[in-house]
Amino acid sequence: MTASGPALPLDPDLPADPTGRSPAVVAVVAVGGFLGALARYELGLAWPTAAGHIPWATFTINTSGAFLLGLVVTVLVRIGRHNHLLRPFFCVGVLGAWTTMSTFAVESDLLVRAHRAGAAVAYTALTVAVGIAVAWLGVVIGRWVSP
Amino acid sequence: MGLAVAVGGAGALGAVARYLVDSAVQRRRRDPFPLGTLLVNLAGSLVLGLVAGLALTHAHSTTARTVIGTGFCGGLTTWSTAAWETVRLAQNGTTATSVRFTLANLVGSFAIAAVGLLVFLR
Repeated sequence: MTASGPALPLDPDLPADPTGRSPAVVAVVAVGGFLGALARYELGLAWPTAAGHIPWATFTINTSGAFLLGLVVTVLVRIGRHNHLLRPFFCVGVLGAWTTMSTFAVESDLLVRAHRAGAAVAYTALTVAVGIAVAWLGVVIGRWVSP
Repeated sequence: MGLAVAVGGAGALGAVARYLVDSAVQRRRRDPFPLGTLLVNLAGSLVLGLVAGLALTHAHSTTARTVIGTGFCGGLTTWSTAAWETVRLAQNGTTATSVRFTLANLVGSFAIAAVGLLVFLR
């Protein structure tokens, strides 16, 4: 892939604020985190996972969040001029709290404990492979749609 | 309704903690390895393992599991940032660091969540 245009950051949290503690940035991360966690909780209630089965709700949450982060960070970096609170709000707050590593880890462990090791391996492999692939795809589409 | 607001509020605290820890850790480092993301994911996975194990063995603690686990730990830990960092490390030509991070994040989070679960589940 050709990497033309502004360099994309390694850590999507970093350029938000040079000190890391600006009250406005912390406030929008909190509001975004509220919305992301609430949405994940509500989707989990609406789409429960039966014991011993692959948690497709968490898979969908993590995969959609990985894609959107790749797309949105790339577009915002390439646009350059935008409100400096947009990225901490949506990327650090909403998408960071929407997706979850802890639930992914505990669900996989509990599948193993329920003697569903095959389901645990499938869930883990799918989350990793699809998550990384769609994050990459998000970056590619972001480069394609933004000048 | 009240529980949903508590989950959102705990998620807000978790997200702010993730942002402050990740910023503080990564600013002090030159190494591109995403240690900040790894640390918040390990911490959140340990706590979620503990409260999930507690909720499975003590029916009265399911509210704590929902607020602390789904809210705070879910807000603290992240998969989207981990996927982004994996992709950017690979695109930058540091594929070995990318693979090392992904393995550390997966194996570390799964193992430390299991430690938390096993405190209450025997």
